Amino acid sequence: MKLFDREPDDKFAVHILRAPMMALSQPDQGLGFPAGTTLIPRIFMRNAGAGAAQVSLSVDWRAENKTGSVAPPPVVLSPGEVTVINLADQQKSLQIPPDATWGTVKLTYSGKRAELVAVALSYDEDYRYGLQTPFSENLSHKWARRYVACRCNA
Amino acid sequence: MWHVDATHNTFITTGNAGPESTTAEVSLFYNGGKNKYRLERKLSPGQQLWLDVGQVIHDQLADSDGQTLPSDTMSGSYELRDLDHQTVGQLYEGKLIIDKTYGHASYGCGTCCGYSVPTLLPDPFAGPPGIDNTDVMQSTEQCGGELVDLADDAYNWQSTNTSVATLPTKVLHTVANGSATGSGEVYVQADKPAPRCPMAYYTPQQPVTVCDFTVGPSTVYAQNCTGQSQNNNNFSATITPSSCLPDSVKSKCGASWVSGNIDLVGSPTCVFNLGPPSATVTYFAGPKLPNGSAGTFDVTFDLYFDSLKADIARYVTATSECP
Repeated sequence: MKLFDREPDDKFAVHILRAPMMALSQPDQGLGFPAGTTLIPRIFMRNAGAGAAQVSLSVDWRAENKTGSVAPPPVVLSPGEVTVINLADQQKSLQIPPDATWGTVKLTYSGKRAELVAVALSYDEDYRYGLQTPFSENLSHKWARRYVACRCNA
Repeated sequence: MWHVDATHNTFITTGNAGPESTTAEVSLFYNGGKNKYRLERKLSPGQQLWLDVGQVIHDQLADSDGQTLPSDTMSGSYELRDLDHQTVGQLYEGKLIIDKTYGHASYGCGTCCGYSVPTLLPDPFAGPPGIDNTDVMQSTEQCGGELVDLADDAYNWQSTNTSVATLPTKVLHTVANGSATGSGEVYVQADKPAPRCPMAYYTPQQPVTVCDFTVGPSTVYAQNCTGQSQNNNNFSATITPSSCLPDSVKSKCGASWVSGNIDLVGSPTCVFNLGPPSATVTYFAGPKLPNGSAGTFDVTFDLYFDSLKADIARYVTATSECP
């Protein structure tokens, strides 16, 4: 389960959240989904803070032989507001190529840690096949994963 | 962990979120962690390294060392490293395991690997004057438990008493006897609270003691200069700081003729376990020289300090004045 830890004495700062493996409309063959499966890549965002939050969004996409980046207009969320951004729209309007299979989503906002609750998911219209991508703002000189369960923090 | 078989596949990615290029390394461990597949790649800011582990195995793609993953390999652990930034990493990470049977995919999250509070070694440091020692800023990396030296990433090196010891870099230089405290500062990802690895400043300190001593007196008075009967004179070593204690077993003293009519009898009697080190020198003196003395001899103390794990030799050339 994804947890969003908040601390009362946390200071205001610029936070950058990244979801580095968001599946786009055209699934990568390595996912093993049936031919013809189309995903609907969506980003859910909720402003859990006390004030309005302006969220900048960018998507670094990758297709088999090319990469690129798009930056949709910033989104302003009132306290408690939830919004959904459908990246399939970006692919339909060709801002992201239709054959792009993966995206790294970057959300930037000012506020306290975990005030922006964000989840990226890509499922087909029947919710039979798909993926849900965690956001994290951690950077490190070293990452390791052993044979244990993990707990992802924002 | 990563998992690849007929019904599973794993994707691993890492990206450079920093303002400058860096070298990322992905290691896939297999065979119970005894072997690894290692991919190293230079990443520009914003650039991402992407690994389809199933494809790596199926297509037998060689790693940066020319090795391939055996085709029957199915699972293992993994690590991502920022090879150019040991203390302040720029990499983000993601991992995905797909179960093709049911179309399920599960995202995993790696654990960032912070550093424990470092110590400046040797702690404490003790040594004689006039030596250079390369300090180690030792910390434990929380994922693998390895001891790492952060000294090359540290800055603001300083000593509280530069007349005793200087510490302009990680190389400590001892100047003269006394006490000082050395320190250096480092900015790293900490290991607490896990798993966030927040950035933290650490300033480990190192107590420094420089031990030294003098031997005296330089003038002694012979009981007679007839050359017919023995003279005894006492010498001692004055050690500073007083916290430096010589090893009573490993320390030595000696005497040797330098000039004039001095005839040393045997070796001095050395005492190291009662107060300051002392030596009693026995000799025949005479006849008296025109300057009023019988001659000169050296008295040497070779004191071994356990705290230094070294010995220091000092001597005095003593003039034996005749009555």
